[in-house]
Amino acid sequence: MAAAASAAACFVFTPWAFVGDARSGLAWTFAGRWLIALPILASILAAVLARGGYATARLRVACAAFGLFWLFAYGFFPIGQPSLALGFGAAVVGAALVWQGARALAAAGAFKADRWVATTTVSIFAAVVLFVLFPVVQALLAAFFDRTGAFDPMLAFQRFTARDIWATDCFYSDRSCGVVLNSFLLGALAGLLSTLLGLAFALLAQRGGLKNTRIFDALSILPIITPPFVIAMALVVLFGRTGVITTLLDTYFFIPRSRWIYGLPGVLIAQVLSQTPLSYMILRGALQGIAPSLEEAAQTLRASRWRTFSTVTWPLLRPAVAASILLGFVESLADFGNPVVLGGSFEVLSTKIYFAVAGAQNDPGRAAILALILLAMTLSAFWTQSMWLGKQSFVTVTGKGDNGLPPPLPKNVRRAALGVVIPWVILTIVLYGVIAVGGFVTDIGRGAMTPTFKHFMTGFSIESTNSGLFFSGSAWDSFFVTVGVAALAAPITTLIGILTAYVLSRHNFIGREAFEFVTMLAFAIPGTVIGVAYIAAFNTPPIEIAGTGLILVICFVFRNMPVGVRAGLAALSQIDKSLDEASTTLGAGTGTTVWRVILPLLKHAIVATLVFSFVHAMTAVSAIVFLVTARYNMATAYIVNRVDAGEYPLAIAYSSLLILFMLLVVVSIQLLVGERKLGRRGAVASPVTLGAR
Amino acid sequence: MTRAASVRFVNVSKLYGGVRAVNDVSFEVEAGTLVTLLGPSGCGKTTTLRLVAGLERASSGKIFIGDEDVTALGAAERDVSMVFQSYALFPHMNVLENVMYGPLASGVKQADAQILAREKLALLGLSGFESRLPSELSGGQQQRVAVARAIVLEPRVLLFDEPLSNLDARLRRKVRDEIRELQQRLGLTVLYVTHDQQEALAVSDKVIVMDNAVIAQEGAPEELYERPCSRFLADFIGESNLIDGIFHFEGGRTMFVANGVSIPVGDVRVPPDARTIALRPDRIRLRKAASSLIEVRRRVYLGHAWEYTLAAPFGEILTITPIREEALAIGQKVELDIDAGAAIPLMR
Repeated sequence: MAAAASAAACFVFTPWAFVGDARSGLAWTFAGRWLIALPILASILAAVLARGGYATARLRVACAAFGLFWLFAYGFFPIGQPSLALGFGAAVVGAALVWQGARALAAAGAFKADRWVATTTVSIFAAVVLFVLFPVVQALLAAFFDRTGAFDPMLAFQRFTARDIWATDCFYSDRSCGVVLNSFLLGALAGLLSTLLGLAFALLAQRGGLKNTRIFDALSILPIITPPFVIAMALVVLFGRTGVITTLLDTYFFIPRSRWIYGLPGVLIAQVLSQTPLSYMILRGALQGIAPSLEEAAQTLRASRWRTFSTVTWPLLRPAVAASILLGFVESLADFGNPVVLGGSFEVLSTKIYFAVAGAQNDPGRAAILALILLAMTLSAFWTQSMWLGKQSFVTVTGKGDNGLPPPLPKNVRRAALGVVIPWVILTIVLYGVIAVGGFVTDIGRGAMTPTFKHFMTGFSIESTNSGLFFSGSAWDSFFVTVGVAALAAPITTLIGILTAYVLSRHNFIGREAFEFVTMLAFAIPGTVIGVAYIAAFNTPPIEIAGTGLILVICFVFRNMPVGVRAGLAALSQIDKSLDEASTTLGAGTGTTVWRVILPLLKHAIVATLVFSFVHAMTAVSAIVFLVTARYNMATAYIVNRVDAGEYPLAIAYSSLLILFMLLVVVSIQLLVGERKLGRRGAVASPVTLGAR
Repeated sequence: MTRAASVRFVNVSKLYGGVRAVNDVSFEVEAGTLVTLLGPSGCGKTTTLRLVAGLERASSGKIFIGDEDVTALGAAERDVSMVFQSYALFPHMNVLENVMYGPLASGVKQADAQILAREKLALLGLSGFESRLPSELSGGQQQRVAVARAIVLEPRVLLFDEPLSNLDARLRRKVRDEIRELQQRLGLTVLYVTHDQQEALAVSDKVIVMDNAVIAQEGAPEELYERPCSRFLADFIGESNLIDGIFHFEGGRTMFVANGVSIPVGDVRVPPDARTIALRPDRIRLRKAASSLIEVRRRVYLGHAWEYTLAAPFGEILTITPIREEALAIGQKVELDIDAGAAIPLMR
């Protein structure tokens, strides 16, 4: 009732369209568009029928469904009229219809007649369909249409079989390979190498007998707060043609300068650097999940250290290793920042998509076919993972205290691990050293090391004027937009993600699998694909939000939502269902149970999601480069542009500031939330966040 | 407490997919009594309890609490509370907040809820623990908090799901007696699930034994122990030696003949098709007899008794003999003396 009333009020009084014309829905109705009023009439009808309870439930579902259908159908095809971008009034009417439809579904007996669950699930589902499924499908369909909008499957076939996509020339000639092979090669190598390194780190941290492994944890948090291309920038500064180390080698060892860093080697190193920590976290978690008593049992059965490791530890670790390789592969495919800075003539799918849209070509059809291939590759990687690994996860530590000491590593394994890890740690420290120093010297990329504040002055100067502070630096705008968008997106992401996790873990209903699929879909879609999709779908009515800050917020919410879902699911699996049931038998409804029991227990997952979605929003590049405008520029896009223009010092200065800012945010939130105090049961593993950037 | 109500199941079934977890079950729990649901794991007893709570919905049949048909009501709408096996205390709330949860959820004012909660905590001897977190309490204390939280709303029916399974053996007996005493004092209707037959015999007014999703037998504890109606029950409640053979009447004495061995079974009413007897180990006395076909194979010292395993032509028999009697050597031939009325004839 209240839903229909507020919808009607908005229909009468607030602007229907998104921009421009401020006429309300009612005004439009009398201006010759009487069909615009059908959704609100459906809403009112459903509200009237609500008195009928169970008897009219199905009818109300049909009413709401028709209303929603008409809202969008008329938005797309406004018979004989120019189309309108749906705005506030339309949004409220749509939301009211979703709300009414969900309640009616519950009244008809769906969702076990639980109205709270029905409303939450249907609302999230509707939002995900609107902001993930719809744009992606629409963008991918562009592959089958030519520039004039005519359906042309032959053209799609030509695009698909283009030489620069599938060529294998690099194996037997000087010419380069197609993007698919390049991407696959890069992904496989990056997955493999980062897993090997991550494994070495994890083994040393858990079994290496090292006194202090804090440096590992510190190094593992860095990539999370580092925008993906920053490592690439630092690599150029060190190893580029005029790079610091290149110059040293040239001067003292007479090794000629070259551009080897641009291309596969450079991109690979950069990706491995940024992915190793993720592998480390996965594998360390898996190692912690192996009950030491198993290894002790092997030892009491006279197995040597090496035998214990190779017959017990390693087989139990294998599923996690495979998972890590696959995730490394997917991350590499989705990565845009590193290849765009370091790729040179080495093209991969994500950069190719970008240049198909942003460059001189501007060929959405081509971008769509490339996006389709990229999506197929990532989805099949995820599919492989769930088919192959779904059944073999070994969690051997149960809730009960399972004491015992893990055995130390076999000597040769330990030596090999140290041999890999130590140079890597040094390289990482040097790279971050470059970023820390680079902003404060004239031009580190050319070896000009005179200390200066010039770059910070250009980007971040603040002038004190009569009317207060004036942020005159050229980077301030993008910085404020970034922080604002990230701060706005983070709580929404968390809310949707955690509620989705709750519904998925605690409730069973018809369509649950579909719900799970669409909510996790965003996880598998590379950022470039999302970017292309958003620009294609939201550039025209009925939903025309491209170029606004809103599209940035929405983009982040639905890209990072799976992180919240995963964190929530992990935490919820630690919370016994009897707690929900206890609450219910004590007379609390689902809403009360969620609010008073579930959310407080999920505090740490919630905070983790808040932090991660904030940080991800600040460091994302791939989807964002398509969506930023001069008015709404983001820090990462700004930096990439500076790199493009060769202004490395300013880019480095900005990057170091971003990293510092995020470090500050992460640390202060950690201090604010403090330690958990729920006893043994409350120990919720901190979520490992993995997402295609 | 006068709010206690009866519970009545009328032909209730619960299906999970194609599997019948509860199959056409009917029973009644009278108001103010304690009834246990007893059975091996997977027999449907916990599902039955959850059906009463409203945590599961019946696939068919009707459930009444008092005179009210609650079949279609959810857990939050039924006037029923439950003590969970894991206690399910909210780990982020202290003891007082846990107990106040129910009243607050049903709209009682903060101050009144606190009064109610403190009253019940005092009743269970938990005054002074109000601000502790559940993780700071012992298992027995957590259990009592769970009970306090369940009775604070004065539910019409109180449910216990294996409430003693997380306690050690010594504490189990004490808490068991406390629950029974509380139930009697407050006149509560209690439905209690357990797989421990001793626990069931000790606390109940009536025991309902379930097996394979149906009720195998129901009755007062002594009735079940003395007159089990099937092999399953004779074996499940208390220990029994199950011997197959035939009854034989010989000069006014009833004998049971199994594999050529005649066992005098005293005065029992024998149904015409009985082919099995159940013998309780403690109701068998042993008498040395050099010509017997039965001999002692193993002897175990239990402290208060000897436990003998006898080898007989029809299989092994377990007996328990008070320690004050002379110990029998391994290999000693013995004859069995059965207490009058102790042999339980069963259908095969």
